[in-house]
Amino acid sequence: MELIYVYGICDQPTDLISQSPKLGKEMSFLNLGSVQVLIDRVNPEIYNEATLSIKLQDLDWLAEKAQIHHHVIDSLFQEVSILPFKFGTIYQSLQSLTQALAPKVPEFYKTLIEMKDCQEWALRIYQMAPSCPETVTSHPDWQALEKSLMNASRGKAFLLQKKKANLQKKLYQDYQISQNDLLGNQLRSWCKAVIPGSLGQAQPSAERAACVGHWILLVQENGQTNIWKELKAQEKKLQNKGLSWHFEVSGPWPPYHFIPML
Amino acid sequence: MSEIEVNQDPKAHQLVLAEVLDRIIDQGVVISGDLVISVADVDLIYVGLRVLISSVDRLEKETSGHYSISTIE
Repeated sequence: MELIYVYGICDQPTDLISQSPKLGKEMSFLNLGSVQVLIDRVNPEIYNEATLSIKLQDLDWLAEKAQIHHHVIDSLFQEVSILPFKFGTIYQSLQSLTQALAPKVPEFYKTLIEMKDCQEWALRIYQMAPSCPETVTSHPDWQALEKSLMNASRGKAFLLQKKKANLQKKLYQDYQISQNDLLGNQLRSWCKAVIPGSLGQAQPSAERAACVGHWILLVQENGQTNIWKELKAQEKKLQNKGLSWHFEVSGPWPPYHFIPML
Repeated sequence: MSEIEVNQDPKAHQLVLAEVLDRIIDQGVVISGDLVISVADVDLIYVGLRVLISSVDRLEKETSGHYSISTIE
């Protein structure tokens, strides 16, 4: 018996899959009316639930299989509209797959139309160097501390300096959060859809600047250039406001984050 | 046509792998200690799987023209 692995759902079949690496032994499209489900027949000894959960802990194995999964989806994404499924979406049989997906076909089709010519991009914001923007130094609490410091004894000044450092950190973080929220609102006006991404390892290290913002963008292919221009202008504007932010984008990705029904 | 430089740095591979896993694993990716990658000095990389990672400054220049797709698979 073989298990049925699902890569995603397309609006039309394509023979691109004949040239692609695969996870199983036979990729094909299953016709569900207005959509086509890209499936593969995989070895049940590896892809059963218990074994797969163990295999997922093996980063080398996972890296190889994840890249194949993504390669298949991304190859099709260059040619047709696709709703990518998560890695390891597996059904016991064609019958169970059809029973699960057939009721959702109208919704899949609607989403495929909405996603046509759309790409997912990730925007990450890195804080490149500590800074003290005017919004911090003009804050009443900061100015009150500065005033106290001028008349403080040596011992009290030491404590006040520590308090000042903590206040600077807090005010700067608050400022970053507010500016990141404002940026999110701007992104929503420029992009088809925007969702916040996870920050992952937010703390800086010797090798990595602190990631202070992460947005997942869904953009129309033909509107990208304007968005990058807006982003570049916004990056400059924020740097002029005293935030040492560096914007980095990655993409184009298939719309992994924008498939709500999966 | 501008040619995008292919970066064969293993850290660049890891960065793309982390991005892939972040998208295709249901529970979200857990980046382990040995998968910490440098981003501060990565200005523009274009590695396997058709993924471009770029500063917005470079990206605007690159996508305003036509860039060729290179992979290192």
